[in-house]
Amino acid sequence: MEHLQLTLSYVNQVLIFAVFALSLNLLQGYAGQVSVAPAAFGAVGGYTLGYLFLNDPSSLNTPLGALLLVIIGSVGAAIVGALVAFPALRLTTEWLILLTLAVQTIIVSLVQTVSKLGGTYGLQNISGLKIFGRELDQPADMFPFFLAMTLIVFAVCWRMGESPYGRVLRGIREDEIACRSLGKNVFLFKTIAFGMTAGMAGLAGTMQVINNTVASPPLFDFSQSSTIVSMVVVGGAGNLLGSFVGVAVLVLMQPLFEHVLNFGADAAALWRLIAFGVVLIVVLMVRPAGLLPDKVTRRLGKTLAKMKDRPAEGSDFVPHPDLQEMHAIEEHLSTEDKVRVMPRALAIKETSGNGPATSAVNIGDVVLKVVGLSKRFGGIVAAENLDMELRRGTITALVGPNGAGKTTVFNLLTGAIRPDAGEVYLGGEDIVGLTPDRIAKRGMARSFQAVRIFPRLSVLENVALGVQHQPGESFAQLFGNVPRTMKVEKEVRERSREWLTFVGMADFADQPAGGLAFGQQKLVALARVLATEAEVLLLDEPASGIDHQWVDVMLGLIEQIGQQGRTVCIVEHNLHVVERLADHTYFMELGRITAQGSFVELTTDKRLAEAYFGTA
Amino acid sequence: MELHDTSEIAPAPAAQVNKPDLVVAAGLKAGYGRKQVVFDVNLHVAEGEIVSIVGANGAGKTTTLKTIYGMLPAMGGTITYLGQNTTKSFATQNAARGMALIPAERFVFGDLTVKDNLLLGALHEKSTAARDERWKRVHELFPILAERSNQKAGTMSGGQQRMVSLGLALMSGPKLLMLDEPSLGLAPAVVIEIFSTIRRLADSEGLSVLILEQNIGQALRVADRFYVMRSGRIILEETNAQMRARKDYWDLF
Repeated sequence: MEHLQLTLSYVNQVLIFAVFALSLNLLQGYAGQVSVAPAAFGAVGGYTLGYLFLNDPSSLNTPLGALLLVIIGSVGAAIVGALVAFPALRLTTEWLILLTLAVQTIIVSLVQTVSKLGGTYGLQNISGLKIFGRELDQPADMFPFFLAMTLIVFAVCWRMGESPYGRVLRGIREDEIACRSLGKNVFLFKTIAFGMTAGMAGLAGTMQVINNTVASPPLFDFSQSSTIVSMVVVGGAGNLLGSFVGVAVLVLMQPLFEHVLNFGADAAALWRLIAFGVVLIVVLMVRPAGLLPDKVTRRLGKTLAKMKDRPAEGSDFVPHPDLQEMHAIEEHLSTEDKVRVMPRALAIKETSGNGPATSAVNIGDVVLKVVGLSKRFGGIVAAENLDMELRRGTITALVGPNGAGKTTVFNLLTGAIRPDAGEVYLGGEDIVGLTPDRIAKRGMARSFQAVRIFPRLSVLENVALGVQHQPGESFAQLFGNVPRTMKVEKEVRERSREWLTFVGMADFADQPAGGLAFGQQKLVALARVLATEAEVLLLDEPASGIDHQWVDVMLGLIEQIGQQGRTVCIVEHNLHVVERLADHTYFMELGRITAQGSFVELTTDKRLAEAYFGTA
Repeated sequence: MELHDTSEIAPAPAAQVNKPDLVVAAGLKAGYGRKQVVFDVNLHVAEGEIVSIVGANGAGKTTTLKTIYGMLPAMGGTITYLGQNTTKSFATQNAARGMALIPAERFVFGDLTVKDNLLLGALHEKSTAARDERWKRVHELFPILAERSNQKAGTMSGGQQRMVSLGLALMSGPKLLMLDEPSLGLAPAVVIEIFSTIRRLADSEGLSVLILEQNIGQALRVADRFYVMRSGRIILEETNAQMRARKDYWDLF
């Protein structure tokens, strides 16, 4: 019997740390935010429970019993977490580590200083807690409760991480700016993730206090936090099951040395520390992604393993100087590759015409109007008194020498940079001062010169992040109507696949986007921005780095977008592209628009021809 | 104006064939991890020769370049540079011996000034005179870099950063210059200027150049010889004249 209690006490410890590690994994592995203060948030939960219980044990006279205190403690920790998140989440990784370290120190010092919380001894004799009338006394009594809590936390983390919501979190981990440009409120996502992590750490803290019958500083100090961080790293950040493995390995070292190898309690504690360090070093060297790596890393491994047996696609090619032969081989290759179907989504909703208000949608209407837009960086004029108009169903090109401020214009229009002066009207409303995600939601999306793909997301996930109005990306709906979010998610994936087929990348749907060649990434990025179905599309050098065949496809596609009543603005140096696409061209130099007109008008201008086109 | 102009910037010297090879790759195999993407590539570049590798996205062009430079280990085959076997050399060693590679992504030291970026390029050059000479040449090629000498490179526009990385490579006084999509994101006039500089350096100083291009039209202006890559293999080798004679060179992809 005693043997069983001892075993269960270790199992309980595993469960407590599993809750800590799972919650931290959600923040670190998915959202990519570091926190070295999980134990401090545990202290908030644990001390809350202890204080409330000792002050008024009668509060346990409800059927819920201690469960009520557990809930209060967790919610309290979540609120503290969200408050900390507020200043913290604007910081870069290094500063975030320092800030959470400060939070860790402050909270633990605080509970030691406040005499009502027992000082350095902490709160003692927190025993006799009951849940649903059952006393939590022996490890065997606690086990069912701890197990239930762990499963709930696992379910919550799984739902948040392995869902459209988690896709956004991982997108944030990869590239916040790109996420914002796709209409995601990055700040809200991060705050909720931080708050939820802190809340679940608070829950783990209450479990820790129940298990130890005390709430004392050593239970929640920095060394505990660093152990939890190590568990996540050893198990594999971004893989929730990995956290169980990481916890089990590090917690069960103590009984391994003490009971299995019979070292005695004191020696075992020391050996445990040494072994802990060795495990950490070995794992980081041999399996840097952890014992159970996340999905993408795993998938990459599988692809590579397959590649070993099967050299590579098309490796049966024989070099042959004769073009005739080559054509024969080429035809032998996939012919379906060349059939491209416009996704349903792109077929723009026909204006029904029966409502007078909607009939205002006409080709040629000014959709975006820019008045007197100016921006300076120190002494450098990035944009000076710019006036522009983008008309529905037309393609406008922005050309000019390198450094003229073309990309800056995109940054100003999409809210990435705040202008010093001027107005930007999208559909008649001034959008200056709105955040990039709100502007994207209002129907103006952009692509980036440097692609900004999410490298450790699959190609399909990259595109899926562009799809708007997903209930699964809302925290409130995530745990509400699960069948509906799952149904919509299926549609989202289907539609993303259609976009990928359209740009010819469907074969790569399940590969990590980071493994693609530059031009292929560019196509994925285009599919992603198209998936937003925004009315106004700002494309920064869409054709650069894409091979000839695909350039044609891409230009055809952009033309179609224009013909279907969308509004497109491109920045492009490739004159073939501008010549073919642009209905109207603005010429920029040193932050000013110095000429505008048709492409022919600009290229026949002698000064511009010499300065820019190099054709004089 | 003629948009489809592929006229050469300067006529290629006829006697290229007699020059000794600067770099030779024989049976080169390369890839990432266990995934092989380049198969038995044979190529050579003579002194003063400009060679272009053309091919579609993902054909293995960049991988070939990185392997020659020593950024990726070769999985098989040999690389000979300046008469020595450099198959196992690291990029640092190759750079010290006169190789320079300019990646397609913009690559600058963002927190350093433009000037410091360029000076870093001349790290291995001990002669002040040579350094000043190159310094002048880079500034002639990209006047904006002289104007913005004290600006942090990271705050320049995308195209200007490409100019900095090109300048950085030229400052090293390379013997073998490897350019990955040099025309990417640069104004047409700038591209023409870059190509004519390369041509001049090849003709007057014997600079060897390996250019990756997806745009054959651009490459036709400057390259003496072409390799066409597909699916990790070289499927065709042609001279400029042969390539130019093709009406269907786009179909090569």
